[in-house]
Order: sequence, then C-alpha cells, then structure tokens
Amino acid sequence: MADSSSNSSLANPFEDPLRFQRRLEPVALVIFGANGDLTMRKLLPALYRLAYERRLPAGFAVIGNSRTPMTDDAFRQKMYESVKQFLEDSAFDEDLWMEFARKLHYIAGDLNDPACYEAIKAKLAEVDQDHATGGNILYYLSTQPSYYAPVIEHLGAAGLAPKSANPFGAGYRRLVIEKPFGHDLETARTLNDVVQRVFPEQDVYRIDHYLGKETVQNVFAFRFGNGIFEPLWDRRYVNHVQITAAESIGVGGRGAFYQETGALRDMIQGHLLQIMATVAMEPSAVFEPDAVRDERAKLLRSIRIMKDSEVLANAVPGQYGPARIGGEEIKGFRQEDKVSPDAQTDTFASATFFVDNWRWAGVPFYIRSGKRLPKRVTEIAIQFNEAPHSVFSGEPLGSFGGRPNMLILRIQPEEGISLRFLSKQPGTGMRLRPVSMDFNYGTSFGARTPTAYETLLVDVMAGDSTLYTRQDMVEASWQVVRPIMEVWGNTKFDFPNYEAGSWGPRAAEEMLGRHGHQWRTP
Amino acid sequence: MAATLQADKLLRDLANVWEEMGKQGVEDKSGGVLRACAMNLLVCVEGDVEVGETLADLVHEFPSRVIVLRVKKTSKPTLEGRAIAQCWMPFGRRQQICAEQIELMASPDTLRDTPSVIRGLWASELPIVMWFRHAGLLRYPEFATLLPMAHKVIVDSRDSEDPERTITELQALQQKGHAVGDLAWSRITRWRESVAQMFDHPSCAAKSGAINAITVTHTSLSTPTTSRYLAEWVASSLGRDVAIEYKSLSQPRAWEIHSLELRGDGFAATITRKDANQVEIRWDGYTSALMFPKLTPSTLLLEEFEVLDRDPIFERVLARL
Repeated sequence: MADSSSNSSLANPFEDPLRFQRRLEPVALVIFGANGDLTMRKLLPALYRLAYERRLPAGFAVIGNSRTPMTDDAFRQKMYESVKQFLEDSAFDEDLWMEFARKLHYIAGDLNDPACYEAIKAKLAEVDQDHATGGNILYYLSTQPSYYAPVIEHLGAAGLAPKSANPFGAGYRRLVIEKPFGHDLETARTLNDVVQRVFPEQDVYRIDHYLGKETVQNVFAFRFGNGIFEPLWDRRYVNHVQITAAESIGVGGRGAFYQETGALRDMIQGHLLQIMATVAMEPSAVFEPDAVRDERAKLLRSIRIMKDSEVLANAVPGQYGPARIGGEEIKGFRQEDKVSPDAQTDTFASATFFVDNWRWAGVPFYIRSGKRLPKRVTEIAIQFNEAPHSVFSGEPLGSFGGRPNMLILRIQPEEGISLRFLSKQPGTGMRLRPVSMDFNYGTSFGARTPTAYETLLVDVMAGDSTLYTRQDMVEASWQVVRPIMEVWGNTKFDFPNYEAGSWGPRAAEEMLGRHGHQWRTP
Repeated sequence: MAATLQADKLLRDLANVWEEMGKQGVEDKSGGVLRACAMNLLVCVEGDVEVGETLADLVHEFPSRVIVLRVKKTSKPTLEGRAIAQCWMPFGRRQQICAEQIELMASPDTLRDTPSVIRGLWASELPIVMWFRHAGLLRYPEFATLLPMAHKVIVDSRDSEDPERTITELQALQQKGHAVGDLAWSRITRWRESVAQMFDHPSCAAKSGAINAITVTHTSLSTPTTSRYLAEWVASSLGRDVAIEYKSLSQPRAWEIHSLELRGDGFAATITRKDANQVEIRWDGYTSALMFPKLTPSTLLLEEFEVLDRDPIFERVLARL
C-alpha cells in the first residue's frame, strides 16, 4: 500500500516560521467538476489569491476535469474570466495570472468512463515532471453529489487512491468532498462506505466552508485563549444561545435543487450544528485536528434527539411567500422557476436544541436559518442570566427583560464580537442604559481576511483537518435532524407562512415565547 | 524663556480632537468615527523628511497611537507638539475609523526634554514600537531612557549614512536584550521564502547538503546590507562554512539584489530578478516564476510589527555580520 502520509521527511533548513507563511508541500490538485459554479466562483479565485500571496507551493498544478471538451488554453481562458469576476476583495494582476495559468491543465471525460481516469493518470505523470509536484495528489469533488461514489470507486480502480499501488512513488493522496454528505443518515453512511473502501479516514476532508470562516475559527481563540470567558460558559451563567444564519436572497436559479433540500438539511444539518458544536464543545487538551474534532463530535452526540411527539413544538419550518420589498415585487418560493406550485420545502427552519451534559443541561440553543429574510447575517448570540439581585429596583431595563448581558459573535458580515452591558446614563440620578463594547475584525486587524476557501485549501494541502468535518460528526448531525425531517415530511404545512423580507413565521417566535425568550433582531 | 511641553496638555488636545469629531458625526448624521488603537508607535525623524504617507498606510493596517518626534535644527530652542487624527473610510461602511497621532518637534538642544513627555503619552497596556527613520538618531543619549520601554526597536541600515556603524549599534542593542529589527532584513524576506520554497521539494531538499558556494549579485557598486544578510542567512541555515561571493552588476536597476546562486556537487540553483515584479527560479531543470510584490516602507514595517518578539533567525544572522 502506498504511503498516504506526507513525503517530506527532510526538514527544510531554510524554514522561518516567524516570517514565512505556512509551508506547503508540492501537490497536483485534480478538480472534478471544473466547469461548475463552485470551481469558477470559489476554488479558482481562492487558488489565484493564494498564488498572489505566494502561499502556493512552488511545485503546483491543477488538473480540471468535466465532461465539456476543452483545450488547456480554453480552460485557462474560462478560469481567467471567472477569477477576474469573482475574486473577492483583491486586485487582479495580469503578470501573476500568466504564471498561474501555466499551471492549469484540463482533461475532458465522462466520470463513469474508466478511460477518463487513465487520461487523468497520464496527465498527473506529465505535470509531476513539468511542475515538480512531488507525487502528492489532492482530489477535489466539486461535482454533483450523485457522482461522488462513482468517482471514488474509479479512482480506486485506476490505482490513483492511497489504497492502490502508487504509480508516482511516495506522496499523499487526499480527497476533499463538498457537502452534502448524503441526503439523510442512510445515504451518508452509504457514501461513507464507498469512501472508506478507497481512502483512509485521515485522507478524507469533508469541507464545511462555514468552519473555514475567520470568525468561526476565532471562537476557539476567544473561548480558549482568554481566561475570563470560559468560566461563564455554562448553564449557571448562560440563559440561552441563539444562532442565526439569514440570507436576503431567494433560491434564484437553484429552485429545483433547493426544492429537494430545504433549510434544515442545507443549513442546520450542513453548517449550523457544526457552529453550535464549536460554541458549546469542551476545550480539547491540544489544538490538534483529532483532539478538536473529538470534542466537537462529542458535543454533537450530546444533543438531545427529539421524540416525534416533540418535533412540532420544537422545530418550526417556514416558506416565503411573495412580497414587495423596496418597490420590487418579490416572488414567493412556489413562484420561483422550476419549483412546484405546491412545494412543501422549508426555506426557513428553526429549532430548539438541548445539550445533555453537565455544562449545558437546561440551556436552550435556538437555531434558525432562512432565505428571503430582511438581511444577510450570520451570528451567534449568547444571552447571559440577569444579576442575581438588582440593587437598581424600579429602573426600567427596556426590552432586555432584565437580562442586559449578551455576547454576540458576528460571523458575517462585519465580522467581530460585541458585548452588551448596562452603563449609567450621564446626569443626575441612576438611570441605566445598555451600551455595546465592540471588537471589529476590519478595524483591529486592517489586513485582508482570507476567504473560507483560501483557509481550507491551505489546510488540506498542509494535512490539517481541524476545520474539516469527520464522518462521525456528519452522522451525529444527521441523527439530530432525522426526527425533524421525518415529522416535517409527514406533515402538510400551510405554506407560505412568512412574507419575503420578514424574520420568518410567527410560529418560530412562539417557539421561543414558550421558554420566555424572543429572537433578537440582528 | 525656555520652550516647555506637557504630556497632559497634549492628551487634553487629543481628547478634544475626539470630542470634536464625535460632535461632527452627530451633526452630519454620519455615525461619527471609530477610535482604534492596537499599538504605540514612536517615529523618530530628522529635519523635514515626510513620513505622512507611510504612517497613513500603517495605521490603516495597524491602528496605533503614533508619536512622531521630529528633530530639527532651529534658530532658537524649540519644543512643540500637537494632536491630530488619521482617519479613513473603509470600503462599504459609513463610519470612519481614526487613529491618533501626536507630533512633537524638538531642536537638538531641547531633545533631552522629550523622553519625559513621551513617557506620559503612551496608550497603556499596548506594545511600544520605536522606528528610527534615521538610524543616526539612535545615537542620541537622550533615547537611552526610552529604549528599555520598547518592545521593538526598528531601523533601516540600508538608508543609513554609515551602515556598518548601524549594524554594530543593532548588535549592541541586541546583546543588551532588546528586540531589534532592520528593514534591510525585511527586504529580503521574499528572497528567503523563495529559497525555502525551493527546498520544500524533497529532491531539492535532499541536495541541500551538497551546497558549498553562494553568490549574491547586486546592482550597486558597493555591497549592500541586504546582500550580506541574504548570503549569511543561507550559510547560517546550512550550519556550516560555505564560500560566499558578492558580485556587482554595476548597473542601476529598480531592485537591489539581482540574483542568488547556490552551487555544490551535482547541484545548482538560481533565483534571478526578471523585472521589478518577478523572479525566475531554476534548479535541476525545473523553472518557475514567482511574483515579488513592490515593497514600501509601510509593508516592511508591517512585517516587523508582526514579529514583536525577538527574532532568533535575524539575531543569528546579525551576529555573523
């Protein structure tokens, strides 16, 4: 069996960890689905930006694959246009592109045809010679999910996977899989069986781009790098937690896809439970991939699974209806292209979760996500308990219900952290007023924040899986949403139940109201 | 009457600046300004040398309380100060971000009075960095009482009138336990990173033991500090004696170091400037190109700000010069 680990056994005598970016071994990146949206909007712009910052290894090449016949030059031209269009918060340099484009190659082929993989193998041998990629290969599945299993099986059959005889000598073989990791628990397990037959778990990187966001990573720094917050981080001080991921846009041209997915699968299972786990997990002994992922997985397994009879009271779906926003007529979900006029899809999902462990017993975690909400915002709000005794009796505390202290971790946009507390209003008498202490990434660190894909691509090239999802985490999060999916699937909801541009259905407010809480307005 | 200046007075002026800007924000409903400060930066300059553009770039990336001390010969003893704010509007936002700047002007005969003022001006709990824009200022004994407060002292030996002397002074500071930085060293980071990147490749790394000669070609007539830093860094990284040769291209170019050549039995690697933005790397039949971004005083200083602790690799190389 080939060695699937790093082949860099020789220490580099010229290393300077204080000044240099993290060094990456040479690698050939094979992108399946290279003609797709994700490659053009996210992957190539991220790779170009990494080249701009000299973060790519000197020995580097990309082999793009899709069914569309194209020459290397045509592929380069297509990527040129998309990188220029989708490069975020960054200048485009023509000279750099010329050099970067030299490393882009393309192989057209049908993913179900073994000949496609033979062609990729030949191309890999060629780029290994021309670009000194050191025998390392990174496969990126950016195709439709239905192709994941066939591609992995063909890679194994063609001898291109770690569990094959290695035609390129030593070198790692890593596999990046985009979500969704299955459509439910069973399909997730089926996919994983295929993956595990061909790639060992340590070489599999399931990407959740939310975990790559700088501010999600900052949750680790905030919780475990400071001494003053962690002692407050439990049921004695935290009243409840709200996690919101709101989008102002609708489904656009993805109506057919979204109709089969919905907010619960797409966002809550796919991203927000991972964020919840990051907020609520126990500190790991070390900041190493498996230590961190073990704790995150443990937390996911501690989330109480709802009984069927509890679902409708603790999980509220929604679907947006038409509305007029800012003078523009907005379609309802059922009026979107390729969407059934009686679709039961949840474009909004909210749920109340409890974590059954000593730290969090009895603390509700409210999660909501939806499309066509008033604005695009993702944040975690931690509501602390009120002071045990108020010496300022009689002072109105406004809409805070006597709980003035809230910590808000803003994931996007305007990434940062705010702490709300009461302060004396200037003047005679003791009048209290809530004020906010803000930390803003953009102002405290003027440097550009890398996109999630830049971070995650560097991590996978470095063999760091801390921010990637592991199979047991995927399964645990499917377990959590399974009863909700089943009950919602068997219930006919009176959709649409919220207007586009509002914060979701009334029932979602009532869900919190039953606990004496209310959603905050981000 | 002798010129006097009080830290308290300058801090009151500074508070007034913020108050005025806050009022303005209320009046024009712009949302006011956001005061940002992550560091103290003392900039020591001589004469009328302009550092405004560099400071504007710096505070944008690293909001700081900047104290500019300008030492200028005047006909009578001068010691003056004023407080201003450096503001910028981040893209897509309505609120300006502002960092504060205190400008002090002293004549050589009042310089002895400045440390006591500066000591009262630091923003508390934040790191203190001192950038001697003119390395010669480092020799003024008046700064001796301030230097121990600095988390880092930065000079630029390349721009020094006497680079040898500046290097000696840096070595002395380092031996006293100060964290020191030299922008001439930051200038070669991209060169060093390119060398390291080349040796990331296993087959190249396997040959590092064969290197026995280093040649650095520069564009100036005399050997600049940057060339010496680069050659000594390669040698010290290898951990053994190797032959070092400096060559002059004797042709003015927009860059200082033209090429680096590493040779040994069965091994040759070169990194050569192709133009102002690009270098070509060649080794064992492989050729690749790398972008070298344009360096400005602010990009060099920002790199030094990122390394506020002592830098053992730089110190190792500095000690060899």
